Amino acid sequence: MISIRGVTKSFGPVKALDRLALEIPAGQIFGYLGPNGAGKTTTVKILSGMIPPDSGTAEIAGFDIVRQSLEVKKRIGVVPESGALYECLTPAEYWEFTGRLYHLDQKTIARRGQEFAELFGLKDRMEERINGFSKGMKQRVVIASALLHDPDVLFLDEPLNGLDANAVLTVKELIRSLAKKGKTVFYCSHILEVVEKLCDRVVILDSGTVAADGSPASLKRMTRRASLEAVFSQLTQDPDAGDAARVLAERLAGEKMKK
Amino acid sequence: MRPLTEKRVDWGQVRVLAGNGIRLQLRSGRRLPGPRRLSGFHWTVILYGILGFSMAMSLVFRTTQFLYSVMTLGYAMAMIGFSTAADFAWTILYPDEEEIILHRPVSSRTYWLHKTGVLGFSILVLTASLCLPSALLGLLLDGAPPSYPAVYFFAALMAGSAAALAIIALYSAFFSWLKRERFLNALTWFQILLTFSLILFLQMLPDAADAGWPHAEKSGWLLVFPPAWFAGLIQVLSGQGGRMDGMLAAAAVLSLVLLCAVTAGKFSSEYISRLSGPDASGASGRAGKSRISPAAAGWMRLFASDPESGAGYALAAGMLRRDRLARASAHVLFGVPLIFLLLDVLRDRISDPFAASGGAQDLGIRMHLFFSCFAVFYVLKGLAFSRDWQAAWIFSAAPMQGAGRFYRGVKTAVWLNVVIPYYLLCALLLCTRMPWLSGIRHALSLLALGCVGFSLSSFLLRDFPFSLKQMPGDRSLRIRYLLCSIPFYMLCTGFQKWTYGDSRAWLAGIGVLVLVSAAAEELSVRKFPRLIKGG
Repeated sequence: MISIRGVTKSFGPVKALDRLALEIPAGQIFGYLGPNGAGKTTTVKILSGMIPPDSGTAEIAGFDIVRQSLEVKKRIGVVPESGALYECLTPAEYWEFTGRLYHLDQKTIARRGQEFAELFGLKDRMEERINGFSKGMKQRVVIASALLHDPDVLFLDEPLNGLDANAVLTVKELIRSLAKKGKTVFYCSHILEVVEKLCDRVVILDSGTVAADGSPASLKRMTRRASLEAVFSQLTQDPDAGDAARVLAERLAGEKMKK
Repeated sequence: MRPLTEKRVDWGQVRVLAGNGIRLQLRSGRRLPGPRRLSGFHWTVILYGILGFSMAMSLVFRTTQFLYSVMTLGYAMAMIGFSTAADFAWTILYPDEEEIILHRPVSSRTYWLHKTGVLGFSILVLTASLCLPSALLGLLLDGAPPSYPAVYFFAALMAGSAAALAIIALYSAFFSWLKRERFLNALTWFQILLTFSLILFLQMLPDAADAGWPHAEKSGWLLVFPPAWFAGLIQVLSGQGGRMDGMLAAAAVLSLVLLCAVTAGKFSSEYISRLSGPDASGASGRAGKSRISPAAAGWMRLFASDPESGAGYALAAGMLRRDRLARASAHVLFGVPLIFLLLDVLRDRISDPFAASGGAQDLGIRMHLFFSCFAVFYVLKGLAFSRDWQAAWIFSAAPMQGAGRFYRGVKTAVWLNVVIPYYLLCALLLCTRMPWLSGIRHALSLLALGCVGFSLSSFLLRDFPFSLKQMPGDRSLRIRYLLCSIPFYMLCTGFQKWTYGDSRAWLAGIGVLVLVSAAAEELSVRKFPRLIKGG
């Protein structure tokens, strides 16, 4: 479903992605991990047509992301990391606006909006302006707007930001169900426990290149670690970082004692 | 390779996007939900209506039909150009849209057309509010035909569109040359420049009406003055045009066609790729000095020695240097009275306010005083907005003993970095047109009044500095503060009237102002935690 071949992207002197190559089949929940600045969000932005790659090509559902960007965009749904939306609107207005951009008819938008409102507990707040919502409530509106047009591929960049435990369970279940129906989920996150439990396959990105690629179980086996967190740490962390953190904590505690 | 440049236009999407854009425009600057609150856009329409009516009334009995059209259209073009410039970053480059729209199947040209549609709506409404009074009052002009209002309004719409398109064309050119962060910085400076140019223009308009212009009517130099082109169009359409009017009307039509072609051409097809820009990672900025100067350190020791004041000072001083919103807000606020003063100094219109002839009543002195009051009164309020508003969580999370002490540091920074240099400049300018003792005394009076205004304005604060996201219409909404400055301005004129005639009364008055300012300051520091949300 997603095919990335030699994609490179630089911002000034910083190489965000370096000849990235990946094949992601339909129906897969694909976990995309990496330390801060590894290039995760850049990958999502390139694949969703928000920024162009410097070189290399990528296809989604057989359409080239650069030459056929509108065809690609019709088939994807994106939950951006920032969770940006028009806060002057109500959820009903926002969904109507996004739905109509995908040429959904009024009836379908209303029906799906109602379903999402019920699923995410927004039923009683459909006519309230979003600027009065909590961060978690806003995130629910964003997630629903990404799913409203029933996309084949879903890009989720930290989708659980600000969500409460119940909403997290709902979103995770929704992702599993969508994958079972053949949707591809490209899932970026720093919450490794969720990725470990949710994703069929995990890629760990470091400095714009793939550091590891496999199922969570195979990665743990390969690195002989007990958890995905330990695998991630082994592959991406400065080996002295743990010691440095301990020294700093001791110093802070010492200063507090002196006071 | 030019990605993201699909040129297809989807008219259905244009309608949806433009409808949404207009809805956002009408709700702009309204932070809290509620049907009774007026948005920034509504405020702009009301104020422009009042200004348009005042302008038309001041000219209708003084000029010919042609010059009336030139001046009122010139005024409308300047105001619409200014409005477009001020809201450009929001109407054309709504920052959040990168993440709301860019991943949706909207072509670049569709997106551009929707922006143009929203802009067209703004131009229509603003032109109506600015020019309908002029159009109707135009019937009172000598020899005005009954068709004048309709013809005038049609030409005003064309003139308003030309002004807005000229700003867009200029900005589009900047946007094509500069990276986004640099472009946004350039935009801030351009807006400041435009504000000052507008003030200059509005100041010179009455002079032009009084002298010279009637004799210069329909002379060749009008060809370089765009409002005259559209005034020529009015003459032609109302059946009163001569050869010169025909040439002016042709220039009007040609300029509009040219501007449409420039703005809707290449740029519209590359619009989204420009928007997502080469520095979309958000990386920007330069490292700057963060040291506290010796003078500031001395001041801090005297007035803001505790750590919380120090934190407030460091934050505000840094933001005034690096945050373009804070910088623009302060520069525009204090630049306006300075321009008024400079103009009146250049035109030799300022006399000694301490002289028996009563120079304190000079228009120049009064205008300068009014805008100084406004600037001092609202500089802190304007500092509530920042690009880094999300960092404001720290104010609620930090174990702050007193928001008042923190704000004292912020005020110290504003005072040292903006207010004191402003009054020094005022003193220098005043001394060029009056005895130096009078100049210094007048500047000292302004400073003392400024201290009072500054302390009193603290009671209006409801938010921590740099804690609000600038929303579309917020700038327009701040225009209404001008009306709120009037009571303080009256206090200032009263002070001049009662104390300038007697040196001892003046000295005692200054003493009283300093005491009032100190007391208000102390009270505001204690009241702050209750005044500020979450404080």
